[in-house]
Amino acid sequence: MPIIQTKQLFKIYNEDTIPVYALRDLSLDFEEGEFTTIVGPSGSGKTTLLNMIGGLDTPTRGEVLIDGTNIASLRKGDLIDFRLRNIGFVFQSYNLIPVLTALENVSLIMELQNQDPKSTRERALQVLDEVGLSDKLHSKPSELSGGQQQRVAVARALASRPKFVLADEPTANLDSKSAMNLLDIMAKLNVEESMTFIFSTHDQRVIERARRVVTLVDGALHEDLVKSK
Amino acid sequence: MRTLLLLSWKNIWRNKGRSMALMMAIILGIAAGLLMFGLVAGLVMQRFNGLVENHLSHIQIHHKDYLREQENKMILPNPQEIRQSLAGMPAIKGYAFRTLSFGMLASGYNSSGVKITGINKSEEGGISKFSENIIDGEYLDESLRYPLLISQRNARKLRVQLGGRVVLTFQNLEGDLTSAAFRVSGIFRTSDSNFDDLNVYVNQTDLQELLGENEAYHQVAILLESHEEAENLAALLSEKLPDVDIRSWSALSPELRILVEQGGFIMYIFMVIILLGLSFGILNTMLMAVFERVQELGMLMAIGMTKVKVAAMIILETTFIALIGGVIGVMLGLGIHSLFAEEGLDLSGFADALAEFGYDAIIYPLLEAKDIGITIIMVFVTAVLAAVIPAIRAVQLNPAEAVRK
Ligand SMILES: Nc1ncnc2c1ncn2[C@@H]1O[C@H](COP(=O)(O)OP(=O)(O)O)[C@@H](O)[C@H]1O
Ligand SMILES: [Mg+2]
Repeated sequence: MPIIQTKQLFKIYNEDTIPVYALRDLSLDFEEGEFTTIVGPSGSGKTTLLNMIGGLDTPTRGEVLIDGTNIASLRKGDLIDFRLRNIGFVFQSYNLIPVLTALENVSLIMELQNQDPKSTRERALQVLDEVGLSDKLHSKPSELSGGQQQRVAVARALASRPKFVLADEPTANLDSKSAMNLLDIMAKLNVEESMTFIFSTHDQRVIERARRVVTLVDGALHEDLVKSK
Repeated sequence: MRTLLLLSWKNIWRNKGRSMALMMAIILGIAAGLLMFGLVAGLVMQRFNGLVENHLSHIQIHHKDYLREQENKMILPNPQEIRQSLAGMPAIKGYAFRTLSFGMLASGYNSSGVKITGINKSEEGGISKFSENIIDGEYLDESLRYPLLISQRNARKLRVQLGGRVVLTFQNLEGDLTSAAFRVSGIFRTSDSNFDDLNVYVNQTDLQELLGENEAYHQVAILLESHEEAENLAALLSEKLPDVDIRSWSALSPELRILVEQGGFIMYIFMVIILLGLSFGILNTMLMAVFERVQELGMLMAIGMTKVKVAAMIILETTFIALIGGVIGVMLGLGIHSLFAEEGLDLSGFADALAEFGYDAIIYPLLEAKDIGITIIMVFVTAVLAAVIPAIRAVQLNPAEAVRK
């Protein structure tokens, strides 16, 4: 069974006035362990799609199933809990809490889940090591470069071992070297932690690294390309 | 919970200037509130003690009609019976029989209408601190014939000095006018200028002799262990002594009753005004703190921080600020308070105006632990309540929109 399914997904903003079709009839399956990028020009619905899958926003029509569960059927409190346990998020910016160190930022979700402090710390140290930031444990976000900040964000998203990680244009604010570095790390984690990644981008070099490329145009599926290894 | 506490604590110091400004406001609010409490309580207490200890006492007994008509002939009909009744009473610190007359005080230069109080020095000493008001000379010098205590204001008005001669003219019990020459044995000054204008003191036996009746008493002043027992005891005495008029301090001095009753109320009004100001400050500051962090709060909610925790974080931040401000504010308030509590707050600049209303020029603020506790609790509750609206604003954020910004 696919880990994520969208079924005839529609998102229409301002339906009563001047409707904006952000997503039109989108049916997609994502399998466990995939490394997928959502591409498309600005305004094509990438953020909207990721928000739907992440349960941050509700579809106008259609369904999102995670592991077979329709997330629209979850009550609000359960949905938040569901997100906390199942989904890791990386945003374009404002991922980190400025007053917390890298280590504290990464530990935050596990602490919110009331996990055992010792294993929380071990796991946080492990993922920070995996993203190559063992030497920046006690740095505040303001003391890190943009690329390092996004690596902390990826580490945080992974730390609590969610079912998959959603990343909305994680490289948009990075120079190409940092962007490639972040992509390498994500690809490595995809293998080493067998973590499912879905990320959006409109950076051509990033697209080349993905194994599956879903292209949106005006909210509709334009192309769904799976590269052979 | 630990994470939340830590996060809230750290968040306070993100915008140090703003948090400090809010803390400052709370510090000043609490300090001002405490000083206000202390001053009003001190003022009320001093006025109360001044009146009670100088002449009012807690309970007074008069002839049935004396307070209404104030005629010299309305003497207490049964002084022996009263003495016996008082002797067996609990909670009484002391009592003094007083002989009163309204008359004219004259020197060669000027004259003045006065109330003459004939006192028994030893009895009076047991219930009043009036002798502390003597600023010159002696308290009714026994070696003089017809000694008299006069206020500084009257001494000036009549241009008499210690040892000087004045003439008192009043009706005796028969209704005939009597005059006698008295010698100024002492000069007093209280903080109440109206009182000073009206009162002179003489030896009880002298006044009784001139009135023509050795057992002439118009008033019994009774001092109790505590002013709170006055009503009960007055009622009890009234049952025992139904033929005389017995009143507690609150019935004798409505001004004092209102002061004591309203004093506390006024303090709370001041406190409410201060707290209202504070709550707007807190509301404003915390709303700003929320709006500044829209993306971050959205991100926290997106990654799975529950609304309860987000709200708790905002309220905790406010609480920390209030706590720090509160502790420093109490220390500052108590510091300033203890400064004035010993030395007194000297309002001599307004001494005349204050004396006009019967208040001391130096106020000794009075703070009870209870008042401090109430202040702290009220500020704390205000802070938490004022944080509720920003907390609600924070949880109303739509994470999807907040992170898009
Ligand atoms: N809250 C909103 N209200 C109205 N229109 C919106 C809103 N959010 C997004 N849109 C519109 O939906 C479309 C898709 O937006 P988005 O998903 O952000 O695209 P992308 O991430 O690919 O740039 C755009 O036309 C955008 O203007
Ligand atoms: Mg977008």
